[in-house]
Formats: sequence, structure tokens, C-alpha cells
Amino acid sequence: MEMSEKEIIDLCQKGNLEYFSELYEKYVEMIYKFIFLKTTDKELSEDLTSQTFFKALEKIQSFKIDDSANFRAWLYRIAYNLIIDTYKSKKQDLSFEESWDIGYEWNFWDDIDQKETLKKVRAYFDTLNPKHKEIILMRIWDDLSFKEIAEITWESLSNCKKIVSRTLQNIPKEYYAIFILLIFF
Amino acid sequence: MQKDIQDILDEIYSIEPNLEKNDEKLQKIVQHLLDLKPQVNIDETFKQSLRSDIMAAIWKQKIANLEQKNNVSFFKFFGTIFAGWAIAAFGIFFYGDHLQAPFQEPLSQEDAPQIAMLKSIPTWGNESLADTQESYSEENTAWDTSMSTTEKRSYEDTKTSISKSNNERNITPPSTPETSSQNTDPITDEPSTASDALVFSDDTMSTMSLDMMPASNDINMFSVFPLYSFQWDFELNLPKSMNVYKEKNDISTDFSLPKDVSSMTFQDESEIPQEKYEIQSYDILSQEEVIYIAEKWGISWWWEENFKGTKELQNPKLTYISSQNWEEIYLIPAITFAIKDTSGEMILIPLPKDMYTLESDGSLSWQK
Repeated sequence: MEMSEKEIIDLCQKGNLEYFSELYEKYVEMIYKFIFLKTTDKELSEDLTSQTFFKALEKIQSFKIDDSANFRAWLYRIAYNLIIDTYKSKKQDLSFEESWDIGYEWNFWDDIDQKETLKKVRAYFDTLNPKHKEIILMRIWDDLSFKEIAEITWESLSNCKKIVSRTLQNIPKEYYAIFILLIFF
Repeated sequence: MQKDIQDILDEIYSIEPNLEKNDEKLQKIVQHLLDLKPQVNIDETFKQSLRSDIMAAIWKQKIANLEQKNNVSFFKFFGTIFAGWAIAAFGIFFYGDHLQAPFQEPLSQEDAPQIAMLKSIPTWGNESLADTQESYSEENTAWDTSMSTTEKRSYEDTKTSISKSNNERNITPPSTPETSSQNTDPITDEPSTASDALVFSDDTMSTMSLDMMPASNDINMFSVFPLYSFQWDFELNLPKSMNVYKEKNDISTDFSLPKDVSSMTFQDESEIPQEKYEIQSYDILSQEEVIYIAEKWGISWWWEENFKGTKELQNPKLTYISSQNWEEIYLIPAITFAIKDTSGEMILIPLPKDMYTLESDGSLSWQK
């Protein structure tokens, strides 16, 4: 019988750390993608992914298993903090400019209309507050729920929702449909 | 995919019902957006390498923890012995005349439970323990002749209460009666049977203390605590004696094991209870490698007896086995060499630590 995530975490906390490999298998790709889309650097992403899992392994005892516990959010938060720390140490802001470029590069844009639409979205997106961008991207690309985003970014749930609704209210009319879809994508 | 789009749209409509008017158009947009999602692929080599690094760190940590535990028990154990001998030496030095040959005089009733307890240890399979038992048998006979009927009855009662107490403490009867065949019960004069002999569970071992044993020069501490000496030798050095998990209660070593451990014989790997043991198998070894290990490890005699010419090797492999139950007393995880004979029986042999190196990619390399 397959064990639940909570059972696996419980076993790890009791010293059976070999079960950590199951958590690793489940989340390594997600975490890597999450980091890569923010750093756009393969080497740095691998380094931060590695640090994320070693940190999680080291700190797994501190993860509290209860009904509201969300291991995925906890893991993303570790990765997120590492990204922030990396950028702080480099004294530069986290930018998503290059992440958009990856989107261009990695998806062959045969359809010119699509390309144009995305350019428009990107142009608007670049005008947003970095924190707002971050939250929206977590929802769009990382498929994280608002609750998880709130946990990762240390924002309150209501604040996350407010940020999104404010962004929606302020976007130009022509991008409205696109944006609302992006956010709930 | 169609369902995903519909789910997304439903979520949107629940927040912004006005958008439902443009459902058809929105469906197309959602489809486009799904196609536009950046695709990032993780490098598989990196993924595997990181996994191996993490696993290596985990095993290293586990082994370090166990070694630390072992160090503690080692110092505790020898500290206790040292303290015991120091007190004994002090006593002999100052009161030597009063302490001479305690068993030459009839024993008091207070001593009886201690002797009964000692008598109940016989099937560790250790020769020196057998010697100890013989010497006790003689002493007990002497003691028996000097005992009155009332004392005997009282001793019987004490013995029964110990037996009950042992049962409560989960002491299980062994199934190897050979070593007790020469001993006789000091009270009944009946030959001791297998049921008299007790194999101590881990709990019992931890509750047994030095003061439960009568003082005598014949007592070999390691014969009373064979598991501790095994644990020490196996984990930190080469095993001085190899332990072959051959068949139930047929352990080809100089010591026996608690019943639950000696039952580590399985018809098939699938029989190994997964909730208790974590199994991780490695690549199948070639027969040459298995022979090499057997020779290197000095187990050719065992090899000759069991395999060469008589049975052919099937499915030799390396297996990790870890068990929570073992950690307290045995140093597991051990890398175990598992082979299967023609009868389909799986034999698990723990390998000494300096025979191999666990590489960062999870593979094993042999120290040739």
C-alpha cells in the first residue's frame, strides 16, 4: 500500500531518512522549474535545487505535521528564500525579464498572433510591482494555490488575493481577459 | 486537456460571471495560454546525481548516529565493568578474609533468584558461557545438597516468580537445546530442556544489569553480553567472526541471536516484511565476484559446504537492509550480501564495513 505524504514525513522525522527519497522524487522537478524560471541559469538552478533539498533534509524535523501542513509549500518556501538570498548577495533584484525570454526561446512561436499577444501581456506585466509579478507568476507557472503562495511569500492569504484583484482591476481593458486567464491558469 | 480548460474557466466564471458570455473565445485563449507555458526540463543526470548525494548523506548520517550510540554504550558498558572491578578489588583488599569463595558456603535464599537467572541464559551458543554453566552446575549441585526442604520450596517459589516475570518481559524460549543437555536442575534433578533455556530479547538485555549476577571468577562478561561484543566488532572493525544468516536457529557463528533476528531467512525477497525492513537492492553480482568476496572474507569453508559443487548460485545481489527494531542493538543498516540457493532460500550476509565503499552515486566499490 502506498504511503501518504504525511506518513513519509512522519517516518523521516522518526529517523528513517531514507524515505526522504520519495519526497525528492515527487518534488525535484517542480522545485527545479520554479527556481529556473526565476533565475534562468541552469547552473545556479541546479545549485539552488540541491541546496533546497539538503536544507529540507536538515530541517525536516521542524516541519509540523498537522491538518493544514503543506509540505510542497514548505519546500517552495525554502527554495524561494534561497533565491531571495542569492539575489540579495548579488545585490540585484529578482527579475522575471529573462524568464519571459525562456518562454519565447523554448516554445517555438509559429503563430505570430500569439507572439504579439504575449508581447503585449509582457509589456503590461513589466509595469507591475515586482512582488505582484512574483505572486501572479507563482499562480500561473507554478500552479500554486493562493494559500500556498501566501505560505511561501509570508504574505497573508487575503493580501495575496487583494494583490491579484488589484492587478486585475488595474490592467488595461484589452488585456483583461488574457490576464484573468493567466492568473487562473 | 479539455477538462483542465473547463475547470479553469469554471473557476474564473465563479469569480467573474460576466466572462461566461465569451465562453467560446475564452476557451481558445486558454488553450493558447496552455500551449505558451514555458517548458523547462530538468537534466536527468543532475537529478540522479543529486538523489545519490542525498542518499549518501542520509546513510552517512545514520551510520554516524549509530556509531555515536555505540560509543556511548561502549563507554557505559566498560565504565560499569571498571566500576565493578574497582569495587571488587577494594573489597578484596580490605575484607578479603570475609569474601573468600562465596560459593563454598550454602547460598542464602537471596542468592537463589540470581542463580536462577544465570541458569536461564544457556543458549547463547558461546563456548565460554557453556563452561560457565558447567561450573555453575557443579556449584549448584553443591548448593542443592546443603539446602533444606523449606529452602527448596522457597526457591521453587522464587523460580516460578522469576519465570512469570520473564514472561512478562517478553523472554522467548529458544529452539536450540543442545547446550543445556549436560545440566541438571538443582532442585528437581531433571535434565534441563530447551524450555528451561531462555533467549533474551532486546528489552531483557537492556534491563539486565551486572548486579543481577553472582560474583564469580568463572563469569566471562562477554559471554553474558555476546551481542554487545558482536555489535562493537562488527560496526567499528572487521567482524572477528562472520555471522551467516543461514536457517532459522542455525547460526554458524560463535554466538546466537535473538529469535526475531535469526528469523531473517526468507524464501524470497518478497517475503521480507516491508513495514519492518527497508530493502534496497543493487546490481546483481557475478558468480566470480561472489566467490571473490567469499575468499576475501575468509568464508571459503562455508562456501565449500554450502555452494561449491552442490548448489548453484542464483540471483546474487547486494541488499541494504535497515530495521528500526535492530538499531538499538545491531548496527543496521548493514550492506548485506544476499544470495539465493537452488532451493530458493535467500541467505543474507552482512558485509564488514571496510570491504566496500559507498560511492556518491550510490554504487559500491570493493576494497581489493
